[in-house]
Amino acid sequence: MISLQRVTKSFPGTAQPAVSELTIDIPEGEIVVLVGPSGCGKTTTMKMINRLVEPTSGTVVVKGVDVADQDPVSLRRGIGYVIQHVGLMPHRTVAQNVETVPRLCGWTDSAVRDRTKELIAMLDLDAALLDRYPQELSGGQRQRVGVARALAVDPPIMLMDEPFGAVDPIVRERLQDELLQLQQKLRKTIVFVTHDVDEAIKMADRIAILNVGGVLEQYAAPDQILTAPANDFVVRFVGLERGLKKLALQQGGDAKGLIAALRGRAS
Amino acid sequence: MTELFRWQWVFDHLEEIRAQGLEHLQLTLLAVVIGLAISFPLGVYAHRHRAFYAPVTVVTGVLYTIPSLALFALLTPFFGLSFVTAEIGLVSYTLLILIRNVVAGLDGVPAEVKEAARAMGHSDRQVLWRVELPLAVPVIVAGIRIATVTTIGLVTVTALIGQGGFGYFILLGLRRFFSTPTILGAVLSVLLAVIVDRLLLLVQSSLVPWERRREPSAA
Repeated sequence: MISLQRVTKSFPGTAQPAVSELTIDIPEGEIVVLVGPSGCGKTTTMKMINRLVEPTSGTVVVKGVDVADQDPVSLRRGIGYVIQHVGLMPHRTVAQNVETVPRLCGWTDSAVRDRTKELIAMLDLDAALLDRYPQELSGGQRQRVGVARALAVDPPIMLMDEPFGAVDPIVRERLQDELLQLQQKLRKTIVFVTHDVDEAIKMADRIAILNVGGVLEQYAAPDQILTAPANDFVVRFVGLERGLKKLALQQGGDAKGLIAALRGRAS
Repeated sequence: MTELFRWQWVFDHLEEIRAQGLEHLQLTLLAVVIGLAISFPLGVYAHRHRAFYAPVTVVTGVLYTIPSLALFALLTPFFGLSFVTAEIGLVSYTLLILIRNVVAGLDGVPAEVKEAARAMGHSDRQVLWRVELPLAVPVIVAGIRIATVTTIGLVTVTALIGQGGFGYFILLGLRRFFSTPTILGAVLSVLLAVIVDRLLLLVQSSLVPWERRREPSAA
């Protein structure tokens, strides 16, 4: 669905590239989590998929076509986007925010209204919120509106940059669970950026662990990352030496069980 | 002892007061509208092309510092004691404030909002018109308010070149050593400034309904 081929991004005035020769294939219908310490280029990598950032070299292919050959505006309208601070338009009501992309795509009024109703039901939002402004909502509600907005034209691909980073842990967990449930139905191709390993393990079908400078250390399913870390960096980053994860692995030797336990909170 | 203020004089000149008030308002509004028509595109351009901003600020800043009396005197040989002379001067004093506020308003739009707008597939022009400018409205209108109030004060000076609105009364009083019209002109000019400023504040809050709801529990 999405393929990065030897992608490098250097920003002017910095010695080390933000992303170095990164090659990743993101399969259709999966959640791929990019995780790593700050400065690992995870957000930059994500932004190269919808051309918010242009790679210095290498190619990014979306749905079989090099993004460099696609009009950035129409490319972006076909890719849902959710960011940490949500980026809801403060001057537009919840309804107007959710309707942004359908309107840009020239949908009719009735089609837009029907879709908005569908989305607020899907995301468990109260219809009374539609006429409010974003600053009148709670953090969790804003995130839901952000996700609804990203899903508005039903794009096959979603980019999510620390989408639950700005809410408290309890709300975050609920939002994670809801997204996983939604994904069961929707089967989107989701690129999810986080710095939180636990969130990565919980959400991912595959995890890409990036090191500073955008170097890919390991790209594998969560159970493989936990049971067969590729190198010391992965071991340290995942924090296998500490806490619950290690205990679970020692006692059961069963990483799948651990993941099931983590995911168990989803149902 | 002469009286400081003779109400009878005021009642005898009501028609003239009305006419001068209208002229005062005309001179002001036209200057601000033309000033905005010049400043708006320049400000938008300067926001995008930063190198352009410094020279614009220097030129409009110099214009702003020229004493108004001197500016009108310098323009008179070219345009005479006319409405045009008055407007050129008045407009040039609005530019610095207006351009600065257009740029500051656009600068104040949060980066993540602009990025989210781009990421959702707004073209550059759509980002400007649908996102940046609506969010810059409070700062731009604040600039319009300052420019308008300043201009209302300056209009009185144009009495010296035969225009002037309420400035006509100020000058009249000075020439005749008669305080009533001078006080009247000054007070009416201030009153006009306060009223117009209030009106613009109303316009502003009707343009930005989302700002009024910033405090959810305030009502």
